[in-house]
Amino acid sequence: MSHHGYHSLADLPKPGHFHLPKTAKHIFIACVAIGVVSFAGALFQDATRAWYNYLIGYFYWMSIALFGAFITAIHHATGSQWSTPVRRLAEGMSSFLPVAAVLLLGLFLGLHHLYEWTHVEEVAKDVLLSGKSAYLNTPFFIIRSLVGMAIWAGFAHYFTTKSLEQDQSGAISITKGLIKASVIFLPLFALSFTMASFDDIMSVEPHFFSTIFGVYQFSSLFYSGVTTLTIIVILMQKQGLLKGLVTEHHMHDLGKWMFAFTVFWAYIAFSQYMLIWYANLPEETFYFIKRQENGWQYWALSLAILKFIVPFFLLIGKWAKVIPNYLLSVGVLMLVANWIDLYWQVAPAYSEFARLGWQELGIFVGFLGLFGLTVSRFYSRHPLVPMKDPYLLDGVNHNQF
Amino acid sequence: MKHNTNAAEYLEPEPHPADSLTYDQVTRDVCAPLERVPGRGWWMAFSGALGLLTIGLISIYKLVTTGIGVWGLNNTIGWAYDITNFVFWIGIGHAGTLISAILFLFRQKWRTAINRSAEAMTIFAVMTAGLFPLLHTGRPWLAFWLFPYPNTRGSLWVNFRSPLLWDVFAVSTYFTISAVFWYIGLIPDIATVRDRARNKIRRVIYGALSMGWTGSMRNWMHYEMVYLILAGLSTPLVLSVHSIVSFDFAVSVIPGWHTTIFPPYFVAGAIFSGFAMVMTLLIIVRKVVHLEEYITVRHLENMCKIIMATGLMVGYAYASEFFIAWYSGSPYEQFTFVNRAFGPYAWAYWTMVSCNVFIPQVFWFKKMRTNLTIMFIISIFVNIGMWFERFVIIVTSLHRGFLPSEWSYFTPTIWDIGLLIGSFGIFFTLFLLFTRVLPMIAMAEIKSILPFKRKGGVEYGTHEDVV
Repeated sequence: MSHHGYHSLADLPKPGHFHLPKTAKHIFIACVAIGVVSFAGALFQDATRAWYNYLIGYFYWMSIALFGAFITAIHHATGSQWSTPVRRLAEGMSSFLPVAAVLLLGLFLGLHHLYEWTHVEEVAKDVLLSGKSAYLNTPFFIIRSLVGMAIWAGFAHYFTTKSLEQDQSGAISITKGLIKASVIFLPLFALSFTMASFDDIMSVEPHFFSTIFGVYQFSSLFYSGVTTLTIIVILMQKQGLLKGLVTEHHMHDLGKWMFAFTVFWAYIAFSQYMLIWYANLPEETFYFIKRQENGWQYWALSLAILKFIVPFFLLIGKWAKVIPNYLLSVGVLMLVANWIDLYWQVAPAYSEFARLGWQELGIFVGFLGLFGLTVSRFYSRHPLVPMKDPYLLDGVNHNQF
Repeated sequence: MKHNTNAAEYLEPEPHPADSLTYDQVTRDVCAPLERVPGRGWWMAFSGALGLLTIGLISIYKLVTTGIGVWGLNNTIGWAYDITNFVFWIGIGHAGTLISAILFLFRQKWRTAINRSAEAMTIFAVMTAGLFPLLHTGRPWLAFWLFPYPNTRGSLWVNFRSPLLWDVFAVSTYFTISAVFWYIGLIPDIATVRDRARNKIRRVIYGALSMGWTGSMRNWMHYEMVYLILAGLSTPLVLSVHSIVSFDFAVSVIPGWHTTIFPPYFVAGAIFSGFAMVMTLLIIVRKVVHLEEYITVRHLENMCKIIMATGLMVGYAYASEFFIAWYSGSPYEQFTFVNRAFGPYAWAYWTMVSCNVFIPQVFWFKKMRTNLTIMFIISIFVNIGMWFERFVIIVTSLHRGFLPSEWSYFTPTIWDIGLLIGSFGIFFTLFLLFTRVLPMIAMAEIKSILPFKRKGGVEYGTHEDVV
């Protein structure tokens, strides 16, 4: 393929302005409304069910927003060039973090429904839980959650603000500052997100423990995050935006990341499952036994098939990564599979039998609508591409050859 | 791909061989060590390596003729130096394929300066590693029993449920693919050596090895395709080999061994130790063979960054193991970890933590990442730390059984130590021979990233811009 590329920043085409189409906006608002109604309805009918779906919705979309900050930091820390044209879109994803912070405050109201370890009288009767109470107790949980969220939202805010500042000045010093901030953020991210994984998701089964759990949630964060980013790019392109800035080569790379993380997730999930199955220690196996009977076995199986096997084969070829509608469909499938994963980890702690009702769907789309409204608001207010980034030209001219 | 942007000048540019190099000079520099009688430095290093190798051979002789009772193993501690050395060398063998395959897929072009020697190191390290399980069987001449095939030994089959057997498959697959990958990469360079050969024997040997490479467009097309496919195949292998090595421990129910983070943790540790070993070797080699223009300080700086990043991952794993041991509420897990840090092997544990987690933190500072002496010292520390990591995992978990009557302490005999020393002898001997007979730097790949020059020194972009 011939490529001549652009020779200066001034030659680059404009990315265009994003306007959220009216229908999309109405759909998102309707989603939020459905979410609020479903949550309220579920709260009256079965409060625990309402809260665990809230937890799933929160953790799912918080992870995707956090991916926005994480990939921005990786971009700066590694001096990446190819991802410069899509970096602003990732920054936009992280604009959901302040909303997630508010949702986190809401989550604190449901702790008693969600976590067995908040029941002081239960804990007193249970040797294991009282042993953990130095860590698993309400005040410490709230402190950890708030500190983690402050780190994520704070750094994300810094990354985005500085990047927008560079849109005006084009100063190289800004990139240098972002590189420094990114390398500080990354280890903090690893620790705080691991803690959040243990706290929010692992402690729904407070007797269960697994050292790989944080890595598992991280693999899902990357899996769903890069998929969301790809979907956002494709939807933008469908509106005629980003022309000449985000090319087939960028789509190919994003598709490769999606492909890579289907394998990485499978690797981590297999490692956790296989080691626990093989050693067959009752203090660990109860977790999976619960999740492979009473209907949950179909969820477990569909997880392996839909989160790994199907997208793996669908994404192998190069062609698969550059046909927008195809990649979009696989992406939607992957997001659904990621929800199945989270639901399968959380819900069996509260419900002996597998079930899927309006509560699950309604509350989840509520969070989806909120995410859609927040990030599209960001995109409609800011330039879609960091047009004065020193790496932008190399990024736009990026090719696979 | 520089075009008109100045980003690369203001920010950190990718490590690059010196701009003054020409195609011709690359060929001459890289082929030089192959075409001259080795100097005093090489002979001194080689005799040193042979000395270590001799110690190793004597230890092996003693072991094979007497039995593994010559080692310090006892009823409680059935694995110690042997398996520590095995895991250590397998880990060292990870950097090569990581550099060739994963960094290739990540388009990290700076890898071209270091990939050849790192790949060679991988192969020699895996060969060294393979020795230990064989010797540990006590009857290495029956090693073929490890392969599953219909046989007349009462139809005695291998145990497919054992991770030790998975190791046989994983390590032999890894070795095969790494060797093929390395060899494919060598073909164009071997052809260059062949074309420069001044005598018939050289021409015949390098001619046969180059498999009729002509450098035609068709040759290159096939070469690039095979290289990409092998990179894709090797990438999951890098992860799988050390994951399976970690299964040797993690599928058991021994406290301190059975923990789910082992697979990715072992992989990160392997890359960490592998890079440290590449760094140790390259800092010496670039000096002795005068390759400073190819393996620049910026290349080494990038390696420092990878060492620090993987070191942090290893630290993360130590921390989560410790935390979950407490969190699990299992008294056995809790005892194991407290015992590691404060028990009879505390000295080994703190050696490991200091070398792997604390010391590499100096790489946060650019001054340290560009100081060759500091880099060299730290790479040695990491090598030591990673050997101790395996020792700590293996021995501290074994030396305290569930029954106090099993409690014991491992003290190595001279044959344990002799074999450890000997393993370095095997590795260095092979590596030094490699530097004499095969091009240490991937000439063809280096040339592809050199700036295009015409008369008058005007730069016309790089080779790649034209393709």
